[in-house]
Amino acid sequence: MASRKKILLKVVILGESSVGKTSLMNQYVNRKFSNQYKATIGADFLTKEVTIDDRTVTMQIWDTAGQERFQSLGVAFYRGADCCVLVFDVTAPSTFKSLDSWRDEFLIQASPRDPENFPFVLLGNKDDLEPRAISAKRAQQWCQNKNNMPYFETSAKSGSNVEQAFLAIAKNALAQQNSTVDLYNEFPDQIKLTNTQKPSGSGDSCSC
Amino acid sequence: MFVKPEEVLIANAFWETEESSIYFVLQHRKGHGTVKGLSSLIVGTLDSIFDTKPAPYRILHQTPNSEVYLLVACAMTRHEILKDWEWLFANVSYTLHSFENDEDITEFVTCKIESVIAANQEIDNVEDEDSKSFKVTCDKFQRLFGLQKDEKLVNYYSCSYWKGKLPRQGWMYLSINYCCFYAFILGTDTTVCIRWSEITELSQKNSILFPDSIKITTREKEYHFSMFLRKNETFTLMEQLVDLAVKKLIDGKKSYREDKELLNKLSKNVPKKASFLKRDLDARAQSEAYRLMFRLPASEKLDGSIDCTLLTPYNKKFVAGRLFLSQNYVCFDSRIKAQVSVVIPLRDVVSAEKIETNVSNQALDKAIIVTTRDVLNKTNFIFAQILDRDFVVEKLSELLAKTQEMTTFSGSNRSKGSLVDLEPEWKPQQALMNIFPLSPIPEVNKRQQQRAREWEEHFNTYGRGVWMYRTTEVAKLVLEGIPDHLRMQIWMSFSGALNLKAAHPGYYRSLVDKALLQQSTANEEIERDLHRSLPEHPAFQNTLGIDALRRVLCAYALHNPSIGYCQAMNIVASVLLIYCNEEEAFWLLVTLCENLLPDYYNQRVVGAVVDQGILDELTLEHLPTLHDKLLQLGMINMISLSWFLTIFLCVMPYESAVNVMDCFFYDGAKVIFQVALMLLEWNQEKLLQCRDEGEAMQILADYLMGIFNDEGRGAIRNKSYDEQKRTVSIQVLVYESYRKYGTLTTGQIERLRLKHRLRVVQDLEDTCERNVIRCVIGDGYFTQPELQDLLGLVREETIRQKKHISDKHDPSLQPYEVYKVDFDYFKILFVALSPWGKGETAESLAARIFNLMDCNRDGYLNFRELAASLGLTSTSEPAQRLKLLYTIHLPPLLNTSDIESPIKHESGAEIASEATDFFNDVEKSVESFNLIDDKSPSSPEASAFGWQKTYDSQSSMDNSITSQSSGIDQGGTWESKSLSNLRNLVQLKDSKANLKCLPRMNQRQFTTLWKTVYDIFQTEPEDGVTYHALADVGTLLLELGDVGKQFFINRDESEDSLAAAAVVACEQNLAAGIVESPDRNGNPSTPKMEIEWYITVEQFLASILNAQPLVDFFSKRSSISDNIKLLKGKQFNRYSSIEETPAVVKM
Ligand SMILES: Nc1nc2c(ncn2[C@@H]2O[C@H](COP(=O)(O)OP(=O)(O)OP(=O)(O)O)[C@@H](O)[C@H]2O)c(=O)[nH]1
Ligand SMILES: [Mg+2]
Repeated sequence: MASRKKILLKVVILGESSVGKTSLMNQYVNRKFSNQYKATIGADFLTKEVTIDDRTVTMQIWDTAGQERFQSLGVAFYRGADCCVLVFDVTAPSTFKSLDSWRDEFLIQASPRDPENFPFVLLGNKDDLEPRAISAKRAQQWCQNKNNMPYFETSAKSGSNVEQAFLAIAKNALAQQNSTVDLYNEFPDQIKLTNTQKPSGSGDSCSC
Repeated sequence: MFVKPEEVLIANAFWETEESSIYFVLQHRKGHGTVKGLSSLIVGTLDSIFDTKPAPYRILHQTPNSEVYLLVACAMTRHEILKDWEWLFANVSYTLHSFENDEDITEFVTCKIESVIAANQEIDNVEDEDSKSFKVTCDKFQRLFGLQKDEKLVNYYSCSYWKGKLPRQGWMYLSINYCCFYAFILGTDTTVCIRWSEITELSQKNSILFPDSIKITTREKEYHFSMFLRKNETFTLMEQLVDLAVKKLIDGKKSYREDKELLNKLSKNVPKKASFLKRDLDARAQSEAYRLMFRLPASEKLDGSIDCTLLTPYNKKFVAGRLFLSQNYVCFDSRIKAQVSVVIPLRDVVSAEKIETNVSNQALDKAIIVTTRDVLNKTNFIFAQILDRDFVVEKLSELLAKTQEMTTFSGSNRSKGSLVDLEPEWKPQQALMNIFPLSPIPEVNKRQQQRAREWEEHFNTYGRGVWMYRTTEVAKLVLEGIPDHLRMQIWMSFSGALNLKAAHPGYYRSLVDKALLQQSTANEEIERDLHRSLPEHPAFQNTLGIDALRRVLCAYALHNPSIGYCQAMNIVASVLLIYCNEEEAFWLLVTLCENLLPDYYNQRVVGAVVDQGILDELTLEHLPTLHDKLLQLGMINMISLSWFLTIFLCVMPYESAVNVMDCFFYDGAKVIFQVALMLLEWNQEKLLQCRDEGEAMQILADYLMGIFNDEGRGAIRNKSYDEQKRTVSIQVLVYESYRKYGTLTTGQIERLRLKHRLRVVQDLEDTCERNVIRCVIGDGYFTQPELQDLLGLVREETIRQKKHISDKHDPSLQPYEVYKVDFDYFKILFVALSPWGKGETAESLAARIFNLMDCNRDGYLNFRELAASLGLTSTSEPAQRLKLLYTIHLPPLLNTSDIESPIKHESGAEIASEATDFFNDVEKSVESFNLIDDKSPSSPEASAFGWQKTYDSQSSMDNSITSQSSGIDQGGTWESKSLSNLRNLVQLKDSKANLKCLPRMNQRQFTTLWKTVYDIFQTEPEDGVTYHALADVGTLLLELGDVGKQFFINRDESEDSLAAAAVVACEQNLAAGIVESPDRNGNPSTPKMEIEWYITVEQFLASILNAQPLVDFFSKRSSISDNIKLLKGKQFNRYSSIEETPAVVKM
């Protein structure tokens, strides 16, 4: 049965340089913060086993380079992604402004089957820092216009909310994978997981 | 000699016929014999052809039924002309009998003679500048393909073009921007004209279908050419020209400029057969190869080279090879590859003298000695067997004199500089490893010392630094890894960075001083990355290291703004700083970014993507099985960026990667490919087992992090390094990679880069275009293929007009803003593509539409505006088209000159320019309206919503402005504001409400409008019904206008009048400015006086939409793709181009 097969979820993290993508990934996977990471060239990735609704899935997290000039080279890393994580730095307005272009570029390059409903999750990182430039409200507003994208405020440094955020990411990715499997599965009565409600709609997992 | 066939009208005046056949006449000039003082017969002949002085003998071609004679040959002597006469008989006359009609005969003769001329001309070419016959061919070429006068022909070759399955024999013309082919045989005209920048692939093929041919691929088509006389030469030249075009696409500034200086330099060596440009390109290629071979700065131009021998003191032998001279260097390379080479900078040379010929020592025959400043070791170089020794010595001393001048000059400069800033704010950092020594490891120290001894020995035998005789011995040493304290010196001299540094004293300091004061994106980006470069090294946990890194990177960003700062440079630079002093690190970075890894770090990382393609190709060649797997996983693109951009520094422990760097500076970029291939090969088995790309990435990542270097003195033996599984030592990796893949040469890589660059750049162009189309298609005027065609046309034009190429990669621009057309070209497009462009009013309409649509008033329509302009007249809803038609007959678009005098065709341009002047004064206050509202690809509805949104905000803003400044009459502001309002109204698809906002039209305006309508319909097929309908509707509208007049006279100022209510409603309805507009334009009276005769846009629409024939016309959707094809065809059709589309030729 499909459910017994090992499930691999592919998640891609995008966002401007220096917003904390590498730090977030490492905080989540290794539970530590270090200021010894190099700027990411090309891409890095880490894997982590997670349990969602009693099922163990392997999450493969791809961390990409953030500088503008690498934006169009992501295509190699985007293919087959189940969820895309957009990150900005709550203290740097320009990193928020560029979210649209990251999202668009991802949709163009990854060309998912159903772009309208492809799951994105937005993370406003460095919420341990002051002064803030982008309020939670503003970020949530942006999310509302984007098919109610879930939004989390995180700190890779303190680790706050990172676990929750990635759990939501994993759930969304899983739902996405199931839905695409459904699309291409001849058997309508296949066991569906977490399919009763679309998790992406609920913003209540957000702590802010 | 034969001349280009030319018509001669009076065949017999002044000339006497000596011989004649059916098709040819041989004549001599009456009274011949008075011509005097010819020094050379050949020159005389040439003069007489191109000046007015006629040659005394000539041959004419004629056909029995024709009055026209063609001059085909002329000569100064009887003997010469007879030779031509005989040749004609032997080769041409006989064949002519087989033709049926006269025209074919003439064509054949013309063609034949021309080909003879072209073939001879290669032998006949005269002196430096292009020969006259070449110029003639160049003229012909320009005419043939309808090209501009400045389109310079480089060379032309006889070959065949395969049209379908038939080869057509003709000529291939290669110019700076085009590859053209022309054949004109037996009445069939075959023309091919391909712009270099359109080419996506250029290759040599040998298939049964197209034997031994050159294939050119563009986005649309493939072309095959074969039967070249000199295929290799042709192909090489094509490659060169394509590369120039591609480089221009990468960086608009790099356009081709001929280099007279270079040409003169090489004139000694290059045979003067080919065209000026061809020689120029050859010279360039030679210089390029020279620089590459000896790692010289990009400004170095080869003066010449000559065979000779070099005395190699280490084995007391003479090595045969070639001596190269350029303005700052003397170089030598052995004939046997890699045996020995030297690079001697002239700045360090004291003298170059002849050695007296010594009879006893034959080996020292014709020798010179070059003495260097290195007095201590008495270093000098002896070259012998130089055939043209006098010339070489003379040239050398000339060059030496120049260098000495330079050095004294810059020397004085430097001392002055140091006087001014007595206390510099920063001191260049010395190599960081000296300040942050890592805990010494005894066995490592021992190894390093031993290596140092080996190098010392080498220096003693083969010379030190720049004086080194570079042999395979040094290559062996480099392969094993350079000892830390020698790295700087050896990297500097092998990479050529030393030469750059020496040529620019004081440059780095001044750059830093400027760069640190600047505020720029690059500087911000650098700042973010300073602590994320080599954080594991203590030097970069300290301000000393961080500050030095900042200086180097900021200085580089200022030095080369087209690169600025690219992530990965920080990692490379920080490693350089560990081993090198700050200034040396800077120059190494310059060499690396600009010579070794060209275009790697630019705005689109083009160079790295190019090399990705090369790695892919090499993998396919060497590891085919693995290649399939990697392709399936999409791996090459994942690994290569980090491998290439940081030269493995961020994927291996840097202490290991730095050994790759040693070879890299010694041997160039080929090393990266070797190592990459070796790594892939060693992991082949494991990679083949992988199920997904993640697993494969992990395998490689683990393997690379495990590469160790037990000889790294400063080995950062932190925990993670020791915990890491050890996979292979870097020495083994480097050595094996040379053993297995060392046959790769720099030349090969360069050639591959040429090929892949073409593909990558064209892909980027495609992406760029897709983005444009994605943005524009939502407006709903055209389909995707139509937009593609239109964009193709515009792109062609943008490239052609060289001057207006804006930066494609400027992130602040919308994609469609890159492509734009000026009014001249818009006019051409409008005439060719719009159904309204056929009549006499076309130019005036075009001008008004142009003004309406040019939002930012810069005199250009960007692509989106262009598509809207054309779409509104040809594909939109009839109501929308009529709305536009109505609007462009209102002020401010319709100015007085349009009304008073009917537009004459010739004065169209004048009116346009008048209109442009008129709007030039307009204050650019209303900028807030822009087409950029929906960046995301969207459906037509969404985009219409977008328009609506902008319109609303725009209007409300306008309202507030109007209310604020109601008293002040600011004509300019009003003009542009009302223009933008009109534009919005026209582009809005629906809604009755917005119709209300369009101003009413007075009688004079309406008359002009109706004239236009007639004019537009004129080009429709004669059709009684249509004209009847036109007349009816015209009368109706005139009557309606009169009704309005009566209405106003009767019920003047009545509050409850419908019209007045409408006015009020309209005013409240957002567009007060517009409603009042007619009054302010030339009619400064009150509204009441003005509105005597009027019609409204609703009346106009309703009347026309009631007449079926008119509706049919205004709802016809004409295919612009077909028209574009026609237009393109015209541009290449030599007969029609001049008469039918004058603008194309004129511009
Ligand atoms: N205070 C604070 N600093 C953070 C946080 N996350 C990351 N940083 C710091 O921000 C800088 C950038 O973090 P990275 O994780 O390297 O950023 P990135 O998004 O991976 O950047 P690129 O690899 O260049 O695309 C580093 O100096 C981190 O230490 C956070 O939550 N709080
Ligand atoms: Mg990163």
